[in-house]
Amino acid sequence: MVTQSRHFADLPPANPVLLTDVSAGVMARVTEIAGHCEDALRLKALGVCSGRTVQVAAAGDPLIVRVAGARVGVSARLAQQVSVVPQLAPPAAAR
Amino acid sequence: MSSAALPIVRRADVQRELTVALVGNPNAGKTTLFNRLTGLRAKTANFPGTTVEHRRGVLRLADGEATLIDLPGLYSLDAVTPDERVARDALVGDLPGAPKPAVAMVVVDATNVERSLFLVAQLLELEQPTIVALNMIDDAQRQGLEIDCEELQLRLGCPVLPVSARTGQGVDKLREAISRAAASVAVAQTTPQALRDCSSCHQCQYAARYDWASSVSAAAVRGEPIVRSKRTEAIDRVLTHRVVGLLCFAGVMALVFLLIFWIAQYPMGWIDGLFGTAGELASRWLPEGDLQSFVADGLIGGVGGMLIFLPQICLLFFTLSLLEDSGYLARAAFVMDRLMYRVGLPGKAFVPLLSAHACAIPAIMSTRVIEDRRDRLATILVIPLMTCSARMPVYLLVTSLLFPERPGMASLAVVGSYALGIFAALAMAWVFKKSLLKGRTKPLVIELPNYRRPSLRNALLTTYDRAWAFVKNAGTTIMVIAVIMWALATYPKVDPQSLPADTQSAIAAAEAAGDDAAAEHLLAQTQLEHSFAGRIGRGIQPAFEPVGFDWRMSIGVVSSFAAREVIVSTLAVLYGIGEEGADDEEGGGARSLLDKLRSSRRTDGRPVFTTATCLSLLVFYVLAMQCLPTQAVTRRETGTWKWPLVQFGYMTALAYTAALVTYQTAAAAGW
Repeated sequence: MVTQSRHFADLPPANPVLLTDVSAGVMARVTEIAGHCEDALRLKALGVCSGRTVQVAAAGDPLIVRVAGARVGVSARLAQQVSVVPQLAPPAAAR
Repeated sequence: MSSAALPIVRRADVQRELTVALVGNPNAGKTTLFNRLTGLRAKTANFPGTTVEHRRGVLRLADGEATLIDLPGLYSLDAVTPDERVARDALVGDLPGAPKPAVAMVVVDATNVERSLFLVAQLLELEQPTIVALNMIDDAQRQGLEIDCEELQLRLGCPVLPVSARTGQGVDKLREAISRAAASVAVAQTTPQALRDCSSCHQCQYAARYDWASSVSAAAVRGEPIVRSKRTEAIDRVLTHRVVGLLCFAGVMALVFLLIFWIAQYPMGWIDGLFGTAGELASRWLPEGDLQSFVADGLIGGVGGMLIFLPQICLLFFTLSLLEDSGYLARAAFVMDRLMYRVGLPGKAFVPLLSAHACAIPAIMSTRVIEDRRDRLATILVIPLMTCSARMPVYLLVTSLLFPERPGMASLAVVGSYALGIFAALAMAWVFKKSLLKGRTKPLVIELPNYRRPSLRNALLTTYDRAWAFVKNAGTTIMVIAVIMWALATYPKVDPQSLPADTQSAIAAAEAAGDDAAAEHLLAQTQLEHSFAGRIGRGIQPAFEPVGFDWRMSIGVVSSFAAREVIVSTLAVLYGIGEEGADDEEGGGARSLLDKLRSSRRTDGRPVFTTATCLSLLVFYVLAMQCLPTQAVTRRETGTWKWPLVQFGYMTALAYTAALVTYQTAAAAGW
């Protein structure tokens, strides 16, 4: 189990972290997807692409992200290629 | 009539050439809409020159008919996977042998317009006549979503029709819209200006399309589909849990298998009885001789041997289709992914591997869900190692030989055989992914759709479709195989006069004693010994000597080359109790076969079926290919004969080596 002890409120908002390091319920803005392989393209086609906001619904391996109104299971190996900036807004306020 | 006369083109002929392509996300209800529009008259086929499957059906319109092509479900047209490449080619008319569709109809999930609009954006960029079918509109309304179709139509620049494929609501209007769109081909579709603007100002095209999708969705859709997704999330907290989820999955699969085996036994019994009766009638009506034997044993026996597995295949496809439709299969792949990764396979390979415990054929057909070619090939190659139901008769025979009067130990040996098959399959998958099919296992990316009530109609249509594909494709091959195997076991005929003196006198003695059955069995035994199959078996017996098989077992291996369960009846014939002796349980036939086998001796007086030989035979039949119909399906699914050959080669080598090690070890231990 990926236990998450860091609190993102403590971090400066511009600091990108890996998608695998985001705890459940946190909204995050995608900044970069490393690599241009097929897998990265599959993620992008599902809406995980730079500039878009995603929410981690369940952490772990595989993890579940909420993106564009759908829930997508992603293995941690691939999620590690995704850099995000956690948003400070509480999840309830965001779409 | 002068040939210069203008051809009279009937309106119906023109209309018939009209094709409409159906595109959509995997969970948008595309199949349901296709079934709703075409009914039972759909056909499944591969796109020319590919192994990508599609369905085509006749779409009845007010002023004629059109061909509706169901393209593979996809999220984008980026041509990354074979499905996407073929779908894109089919849409723009780049596919040889398939005309460019007049209209592209894209299915949009009304409960999640934003997600579907990404694909719509890509379609609009192709600038071809497009229609949007806003499916599951009743669901959306029930969840309190308000969708402004006028607004959507304005922003997309193409017709938007609200429909419910499940209830049929709005489908007539959709047909009218298709007719209109097909009639006005001259009116070119254009990319909406907003989408064009969006694409040019952004670096990432994906983000641009999604930004556009969000803005369109925000303008046309009011409300949030909260109810159903909340429920789905609550269920998923259990079903995707790393421990509880696995337990639930094990429970679901155990239930499915119990159901399949329990229900299937009835139709299997009927089919068995039906073909048995047909064989008897053929024997009675046809004059004795080659024709009778050909029809009764070759044709009826061969086809019956194949069709008996049809109930299991149908039930498997039916339950898998229900599970898929409900959304559960995506969760199964999700929870299994981390475990399967250890052997180099994706989570989606698990359900096909499990299905193989009923029959390898539907299992191989269901590997289509695996996107990556190498992952899929590795799965197909190892599927026949799983213990299918055709292995059961062989297991039962050999384990009762091993442990007479000890049913507990015998069933333990059966369980061990299952375990050996599973272990070998996983190990070989790992080996293939490290050697022949070297490559990274695709990381999981899977949409977890909202749970919904599965459609019985869809499941039945899928089952019918798959069963028909099995009968048509495997069936024709199986017919040919059955005929060849029959000929090998029948010819050349022996002339009773030319038999060795002791055989002749034995037959005469049996006849004199009034035991016609014994005489007949003796003749059948001699016949099989002298047939091509018998000669081949005797010929290759030296190769099987190190694994402890005598010449009769070698003939059994040869005759069960096309269907493994045949070895039981071959042994029955070769041990002179007649074919019917093998499965005639009430009459003590199985017992008499066992007794015969147990008491049989080699020429030097040692028993044939020692513990070492039995173990070796068991291991051989766990691992050997011995099923030509499966190979025919592998050929169909991979598109070349190379893979069935690899499959046959490695499995035979594996079975032989494992049997050799088993026999030599056990024999050295004095068993």
